[in-house]
Amino acid sequence: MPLVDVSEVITDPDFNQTFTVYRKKGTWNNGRFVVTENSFTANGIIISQSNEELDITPQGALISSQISIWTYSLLYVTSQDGTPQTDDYLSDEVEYKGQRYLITAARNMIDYGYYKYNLILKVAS
Amino acid sequence: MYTNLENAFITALASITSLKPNKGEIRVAYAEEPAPSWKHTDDVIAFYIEPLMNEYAEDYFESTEENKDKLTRTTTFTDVVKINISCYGPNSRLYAKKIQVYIQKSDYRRALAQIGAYPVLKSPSPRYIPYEYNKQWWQRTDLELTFNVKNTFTDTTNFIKSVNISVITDKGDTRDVITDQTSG
Repeated sequence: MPLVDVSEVITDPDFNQTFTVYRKKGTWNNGRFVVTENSFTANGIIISQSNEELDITPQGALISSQISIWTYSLLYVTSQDGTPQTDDYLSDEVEYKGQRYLITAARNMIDYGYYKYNLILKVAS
Repeated sequence: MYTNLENAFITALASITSLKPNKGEIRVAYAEEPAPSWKHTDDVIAFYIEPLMNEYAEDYFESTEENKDKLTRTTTFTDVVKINISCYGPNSRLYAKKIQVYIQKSDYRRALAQIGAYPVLKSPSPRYIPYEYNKQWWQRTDLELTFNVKNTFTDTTNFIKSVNISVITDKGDTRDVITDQTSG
């Protein structure tokens, strides 16, 4: 089947930006999952997918938010497509506008030249 | 708070089931960073500990010990805890039953007694509760065990050995008075 590579849009300087990816690898130590983290930069298009929603609870105020990323880079989702099965990796986290987002969903469109990821705000600050 | 008990229980589970805690086959549940899951054919045991309140948990004993310049107060009590165990995988029912029976064997009782943990004889029957995920049935059997655990909290306080006091008279004179507790 002929495939149309639409990924050149991702490198369009009008949309493309650099972001930091935090990769978490874990090892098992007596029933506990011990995580180490390293980081690298990647490029892609980041689009906000929701408002920053304020939720008031008796314990404090919580903020939730979602973004999407279109990128050439293979990012990891825990135990999902693309994650090396020989090692235990957690979902990657991405820093966007000073806040960390956690990848919760991945769409492998590499046949058309790109990956798409959905992320949720992990740490509100 | 329950790290010692968790470690002792992991050792017992590994011995009873031959599953490996260094490969994620035995795991402490509710980790801050949730670990990857497992395959349909894998056997995995996850557990967590929660405090219980019953008549054995009602009494507290306090003792104090003086040591030169310090006073140590020790509060000893019976910490009644419930260990919630979920066995997953094709052998879930076998492992749940084995844990329920074998944890009362003298070998395991002796090992757990080393950290002051004593399993209560009566425990509810394991519950077989398979669940559907990704259009497949996954095997699961839950089990609850109760333990009486000897626990202590320790506080240390320094004695007041001496105090400097300045006495100012109504004529403006100042005199320093030193009270020394150690001189008797």
